Amino acid sequence: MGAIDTFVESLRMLKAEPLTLRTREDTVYALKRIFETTRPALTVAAGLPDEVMDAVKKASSSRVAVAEKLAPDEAISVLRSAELGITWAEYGAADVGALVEVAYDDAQRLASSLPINHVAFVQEKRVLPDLRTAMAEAGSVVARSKPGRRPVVTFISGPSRTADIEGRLLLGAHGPHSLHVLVLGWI
Amino acid sequence: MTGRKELVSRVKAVLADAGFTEKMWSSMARARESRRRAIEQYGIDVHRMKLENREVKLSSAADRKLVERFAEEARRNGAVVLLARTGAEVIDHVEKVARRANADVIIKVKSLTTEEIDFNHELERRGLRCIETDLGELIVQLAHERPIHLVAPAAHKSVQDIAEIVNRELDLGVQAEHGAILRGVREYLRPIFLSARIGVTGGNIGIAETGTVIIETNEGNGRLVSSAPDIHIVVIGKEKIVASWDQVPGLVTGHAISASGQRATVYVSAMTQRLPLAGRSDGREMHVIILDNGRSMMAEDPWYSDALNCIRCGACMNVCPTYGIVGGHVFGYIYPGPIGIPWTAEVHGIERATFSHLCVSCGLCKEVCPIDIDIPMMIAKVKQEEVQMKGQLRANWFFASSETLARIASLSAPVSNWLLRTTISRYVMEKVFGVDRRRSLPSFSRKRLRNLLTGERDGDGSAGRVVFFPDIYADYNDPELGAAAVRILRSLGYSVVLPNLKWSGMPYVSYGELKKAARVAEYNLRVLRPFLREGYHVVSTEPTAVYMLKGPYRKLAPGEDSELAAARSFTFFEFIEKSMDRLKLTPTLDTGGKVGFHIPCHDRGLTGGRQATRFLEKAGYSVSVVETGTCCGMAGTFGMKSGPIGYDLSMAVGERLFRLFRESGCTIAATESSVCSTQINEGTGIRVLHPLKLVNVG
Repeated sequence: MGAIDTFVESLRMLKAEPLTLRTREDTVYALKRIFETTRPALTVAAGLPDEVMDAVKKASSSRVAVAEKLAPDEAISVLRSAELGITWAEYGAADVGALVEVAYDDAQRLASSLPINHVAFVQEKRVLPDLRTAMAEAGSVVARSKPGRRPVVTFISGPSRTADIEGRLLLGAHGPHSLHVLVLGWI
Repeated sequence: MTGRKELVSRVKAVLADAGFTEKMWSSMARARESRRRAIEQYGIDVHRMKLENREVKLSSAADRKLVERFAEEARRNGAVVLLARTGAEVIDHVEKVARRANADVIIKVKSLTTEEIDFNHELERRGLRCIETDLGELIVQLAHERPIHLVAPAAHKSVQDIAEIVNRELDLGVQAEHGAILRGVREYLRPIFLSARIGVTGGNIGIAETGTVIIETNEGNGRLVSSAPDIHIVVIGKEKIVASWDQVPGLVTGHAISASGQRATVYVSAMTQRLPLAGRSDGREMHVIILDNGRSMMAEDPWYSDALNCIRCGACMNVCPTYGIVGGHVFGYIYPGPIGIPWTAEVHGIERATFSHLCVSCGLCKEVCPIDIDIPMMIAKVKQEEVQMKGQLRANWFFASSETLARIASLSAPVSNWLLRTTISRYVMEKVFGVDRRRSLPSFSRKRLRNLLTGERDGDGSAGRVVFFPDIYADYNDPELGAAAVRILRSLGYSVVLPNLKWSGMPYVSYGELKKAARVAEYNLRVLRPFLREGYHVVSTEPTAVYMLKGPYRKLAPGEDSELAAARSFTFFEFIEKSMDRLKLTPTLDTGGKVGFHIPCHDRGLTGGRQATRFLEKAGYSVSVVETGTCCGMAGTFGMKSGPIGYDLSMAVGERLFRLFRESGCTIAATESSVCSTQINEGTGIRVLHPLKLVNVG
C-alpha cells in the first residue's frame, strides 16, 4: 500500500473523514458538501495558501474569518463563536494518520481546536510514510528556526475524544467532534 | 495509606463492595484488551519497542548535562526556566506569577507531577482556584478524591455517579447519559478556558536539542490550556528530558499503545516557545519548571533509578491483578499501582508505601512495561525496607521458609500429609502462622526426585548436557513429574544431572527477604557454575524457577555466573521444542479432546505457554487458552495466606478466571505451575494437571 492509501485507511480508523482531491473543482465541491452538512454561521480559516482560500470562499455562503487578519482584541470572541475551523497541515504521517500542524500564532492553533468541526488540508506530496519521518521533519523545522520565531508543532490524529466515562469512547471532547482531511493532489 | 492495619481494613472494605470491584476490574480488563488488540492490529514488535525506548531513557539518564542543555535552549526560546528542588519552590513560583498577572483562576491539564507536589491544594490554600480540564480528572476533583488510575482517573465511577457529581457540584442539570455529561462539561469549561490567564500543564517529554516540551492529550484540553491563556506554565519532572527529536516517536507510540491501544495520542503538541495570539506578543509568557523533588537522589540509587524511566502509561496498573480489584485509592498513595510503589517510597517516604504488601510478585508489570522497567525488583526492595522497619509478617515468614518446611514434611510423610489435612492442625496453622485453612496444601512425597531416578540409565549425551532444576514441587511434592521430564530428556539423547541445588527462592523476593534471596541465588549459581562453564543447559518444569534464573538472580547476584545462567536456562517445553516431533505423544485421558490451558504469570515473558500448548496439541488435544490477561490470583504463596491480603483477595482475583473456565466447557485444565493448578481446581472444581501428566510419551 502506498503512503496515501495507508494515510486514508489510518484516518478512517481514527474516525476522521478523509478525501483525496485531484482538482480545484473537486475541492470546491467537497467543501460545499461540508458546508452544507455542518451549516456554520461563522467559519474561521487559518494558514491557507491563496488558491485554497479562494476555493473556501467559493464554496462558502456564510462568513469566513481569517485567523491571520483578526485583531488581538476580537480574536478570542471570533474564534469561540466559529463553528467550523479550516486549517493547513504541513505534513501527514501515514502510519498513524496524523496531520502535522505548524503554527506561528495561537489563533491558528485555536482555529483547529475550538470549533466543533475541523477541516484540514494537506498536500498529497507532503504525506510522509510514518510518524518517525514526520517528526524528523518537524524537528528540523523547529531547529532551523531562530529562537523567538519557532513554531508550535501539533500532531493531530483524528477528532478529539475521551473514554473517561465507563471506558466508553466518545468523539468530541474539548476539541472538534468531526475532522475532515482533504488531501490535495493539485497543489 | 499508612499503617498495615489500615491497609487490611481498607482491602476488606473494598472486597465487600462488589459493585466497586466489578467496575474496577472491567475497566482494567478493557484497557488490557485495547492494548492487546492494538499490538496485533498494528503488528507492533513489543520486544524491539522496549529495547529501543529503554535505550533512549538510559542514555538520557546517563547524560549529566542534559537538563542544563534543555534549560538553556528553553531560555533561548524566551521561556522563564526554573529548576525547582522541591514542590514548595514550584508552588511559590506559580503563586508569584499569578499575583503579578492578577489571576485568581488556574486551568490545568491532568499531570501526575503536579499531583505529586499537591499543587491544587497548596495553591487553593493561597486563594488561587485550580480547575482540572481533563474529564476524568475534573470528576475526581469535584468528588474531592484523588485519581484512582494514572490514565483513567475516574475508572471507578459509573455514569450515574458522574452525573450526580457534576449536577451537584456544577449544577449542570444533565441526564445520567455519557454524551450528555460530556456536552455539559464542555459547555461549562469553555468560558473558563477562554478567560483564564494562566494555564498549567505537565510535560510528557522534554527535548534538549530545541528546548521543546511534548504534551499529549486526547480530549484537546492540552491545546486549549496552552494557547488561550496568556501565561503557560509547564511543570515537568527532570527525568522526562531526552536529547533529540529522533528519540521522541518511539516514546510517543510506546506510550499510546500501552496506555490505551492507540498508535498516537490524538494531540501531540510540541511546544517550544510562547506564540503570539492574533499578532499580540505582549504579556504572552511561557514558564518551564523542571522539578527535582528527590529525583536526583533516586538517580544515584542502584535499585530505584529504574523508576525514573517511567513514561506514565499506566499499563502496569492495567495488568496488576490486585490493583485491578482494589484500585489506586488502596493500591497507591499519590502514585498508584505497581510503579507507584517505588515512586511513593522514594518521593513520599517508605512509611507511605505499605501498600507494597498488595503486590503478589507475578512480574506482569515488567512484562507489560514499554520501557522494560524492573518494577518487581524495586517493589521487593521497598518490601525489604518496610519489613526492616516494621518487622516481617508471620505468614510471610512461614512461606519464606518453604524449603525447610518441605524437607521436614517430606521426611515425615505420610504423617505430615495427614497432619496437613486435619481440621485441628489447620486451625493451629492459621492461628499461629497465618496459613488459610480453606486452602488445600499439596501433599509431600517421602521419596525425593533423586531417589526415584536411582539406577536409571542416563542419556548418551549426543544431544547435549542438562542440569535439571526441580525446585520444590517436582522434588518434594510430585517427584514423579520431575522424573517424567528427566526421562524424556534422556530419551532424546540428553545427559541429565541433578546436582544439589536449593529451591529457586521466589518467596524471599515476594516477601522482601532480599538478603536470603541473594544467598540462595549465590548458592545455586555456585553449584551451577562448573556445569554452565562446560556448556550445560539448565531446564526446569517450574516456570518460576526459570523466571528467577533469567530475571531476579541477575540483580541478586550480579556477575558472569548469573548472566551465563540467564542465557542458558529454559522451561522444559521450550527446551524440547525442536525435538518434539521425535516423540510419540498420546493422550492419557479422554477429555472429549478439550483442554483449557492456563499460562502462569512467570511464564508470560518466557514462552507464553506456546510450546506446552503445542505439546498437548501434538498428543491430540484441542487446547484453548483460558485467560483474563492477568494472574490467577494464587501468585505463589500469596493466596495461601489467611485474611484480606491473602486468601480473600486471591479468590476475588481468581473469581474472574474461574468464570471463564466454567464457561469454557472444559472438563480438564492444564498448567505448568503447581500453585496455579491448586487455585483453578479449588475455584472451579475442574481437575488441573501438568501437561506432562496428560500425555503418554513413547
